[in-house]
Amino acid sequence: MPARLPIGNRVKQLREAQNGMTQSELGEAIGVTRQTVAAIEQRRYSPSLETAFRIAKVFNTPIDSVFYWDEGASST
Amino acid sequence: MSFQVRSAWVMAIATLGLGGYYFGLLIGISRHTGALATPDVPLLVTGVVLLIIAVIVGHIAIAIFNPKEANAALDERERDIERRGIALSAQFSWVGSVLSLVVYLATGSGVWLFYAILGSLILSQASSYLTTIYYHYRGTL
Repeated sequence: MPARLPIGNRVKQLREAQNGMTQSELGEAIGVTRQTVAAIEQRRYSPSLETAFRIAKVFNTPIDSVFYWDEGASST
Repeated sequence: MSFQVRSAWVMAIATLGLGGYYFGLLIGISRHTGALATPDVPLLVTGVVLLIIAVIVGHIAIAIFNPKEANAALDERERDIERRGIALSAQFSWVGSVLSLVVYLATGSGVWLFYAILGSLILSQASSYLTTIYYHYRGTL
C-alpha cells in the first residue's frame, strides 16, 4: 500500500460545497484531468505549486486553507 | 480510466503481442530446422506494418469513447508518469544493449546479436507502457 503523502487537503469538501461541483468541472477549471483531481483528493498525488494556487483561486480561499502539512502522515 | 492508460494498454498489448508472436514463430522455425532461424525481412516488415495498424485501430477505438480526452494534452501528473516511463525504458535499452554485446562476444553470431537487440527494443518500449499502467493503478507517484 503506497504511503500517504504528507500534504493534506480539503479539496473534496470545498468542491462539494461549491454547488456540487464535479471533479471534471474542477479539473477543467484548473487544467488537469478528472483522474488527477481524484488523485489529489485521495492524497495520492501532490499538485504543483501553480496548480495548488489555481485550486485555491477557484474556491476563492487562501492556499493554506486548502492544503496543509500533515505531521502524522508517513512519507516515503 | 484515463485516455493515457487506455493508450498504454493498446501499445503494451500490440507490442508484446506481436513481439511475442514473432519470437514464438522464430522458436518454432528454429526447432523445426534444428538451427537458429535467420531474420526474415518480409516477416519483420509484415510485423511492423501489423503493429502500426493495430496501434492505429486501437487508438481510434479508444478515442471514440472520449474524443475530448483523446485530443487533450497531458496534464502535469500524466507528464510525470510519462517521464518515469521514458526513464525506465532508457534503462532497459541500456541494459539490453550491453547484454546484446555480451551475447555477440559469447557467440560471435550476428543473428544472435540481431535478436538480442530486437528483444531489448521490444522490452524497453513495453516497460514504458507498463510503467504508465502501474503508476495509474498504484496512485502515488
